[in-house]
Amino acid sequence: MESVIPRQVNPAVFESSQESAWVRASQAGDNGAFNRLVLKWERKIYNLSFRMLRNPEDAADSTQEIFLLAFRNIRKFKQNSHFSTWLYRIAVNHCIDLLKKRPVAELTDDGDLEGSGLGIRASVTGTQEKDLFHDERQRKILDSLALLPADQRIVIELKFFQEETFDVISKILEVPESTVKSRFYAALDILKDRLSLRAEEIL
Amino acid sequence: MSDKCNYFKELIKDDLAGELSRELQAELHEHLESCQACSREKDELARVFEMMDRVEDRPVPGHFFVYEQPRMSLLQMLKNLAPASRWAAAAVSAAFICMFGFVLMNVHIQYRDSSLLVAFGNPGSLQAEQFLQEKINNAVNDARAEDRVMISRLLEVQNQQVNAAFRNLNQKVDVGFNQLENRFADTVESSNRRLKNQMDLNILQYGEMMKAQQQTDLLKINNRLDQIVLEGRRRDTRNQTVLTTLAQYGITGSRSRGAIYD
Repeated sequence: MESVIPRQVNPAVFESSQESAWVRASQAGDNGAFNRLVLKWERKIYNLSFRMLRNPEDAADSTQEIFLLAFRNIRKFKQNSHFSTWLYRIAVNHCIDLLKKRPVAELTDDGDLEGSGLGIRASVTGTQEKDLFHDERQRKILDSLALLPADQRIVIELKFFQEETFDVISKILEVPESTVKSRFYAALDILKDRLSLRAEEIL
Repeated sequence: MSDKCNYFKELIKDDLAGELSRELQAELHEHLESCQACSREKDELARVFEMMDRVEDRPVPGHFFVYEQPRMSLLQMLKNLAPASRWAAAAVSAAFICMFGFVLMNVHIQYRDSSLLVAFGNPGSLQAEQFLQEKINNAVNDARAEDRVMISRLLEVQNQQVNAAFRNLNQKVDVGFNQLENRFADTVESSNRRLKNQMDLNILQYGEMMKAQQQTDLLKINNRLDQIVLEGRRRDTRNQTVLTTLAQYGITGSRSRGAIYD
């Protein structure tokens, strides 16, 4: 009987086997393979860093440090989860470490952020600010995220912007899924209250 | 707001996050239709999600890239120095090695680190940028070639799987056909046998019937024959009487008959 030749490879299968091949090659010392992993994930990691740290320079530095950490530790990665889960864990821990070193932001009476680390105005000059945020609205939305405690902000970041499931987030953060959920609920309540306060500016 | 509503507030959040099962979705919808507070809550939360949807990713300012520069030996480093300072440097580093071996270890590790060309953001010079771009282009080309190899390998695996499945199916079909054939042959044989038996029986019955019919017919024929014989005898007797009478009147033979009727 004539055999039917499949013309297409399942994209999901292709992507995961490609990625694990890159990881294996990186572990064997192939820098090119690691660079490919970087090219795939750098945008996500950079944006995660940017939203967590709220500063483009810090985000670039953090991205570099995260990939350097990943590069140095790639042999320790046992491939028992997705590469992204492992990478996000490094990224999240690194960003939290950086945030811990910063002074805590405080909310002033009119709802603006004050503080050297989290308020964007404090770290860049007025002319730079215009280049950094192509849209004032984006800045306002990100400002509202800065209000959240770091652990809640991480959950919001992974859920909204990295589009991970609660299950995967609990693996990245290494906490129970119920904890992830309660942080998510609490963060949403804060964001909701803030939005109702300043809706006309943000939306 | 009741405890029940607190429960549904969590469901609303799960639902908007795309992580609510179909059963619970139905339960939630039912509640939302009857509870104004919760449906207002849902609208407010939906606006938070809407707001988050508007956040756009920023483009990366550059590429992170790992490139291990070929290691330069201490000797080569010395050679690169001007001849005059060479010996001085050699002497200094020799002293250095003797005195601060552990420091040199650190230096060594740092050197290894700095051999990783790590760039994120503006690489600094045009040359560095070109170098990086070239490396990245190479990496992308390599990745494409690798993709093709990977695709063909995966296709091969899939083909093998499909072929194996086909072989398996063929075997099953063959077995099925054999079974069908055997069963068919059995059926034909048994039905033949049944037919033959039936026919034998029919023939037997028909023979019996025919025999009975024949006997009836024979009986009828015999009866008829008897009747004919009786009738013949009766006519004979009558003819004899007529002849005798005619003979009394002197008429004999066939002529006499002609004479009568002429």
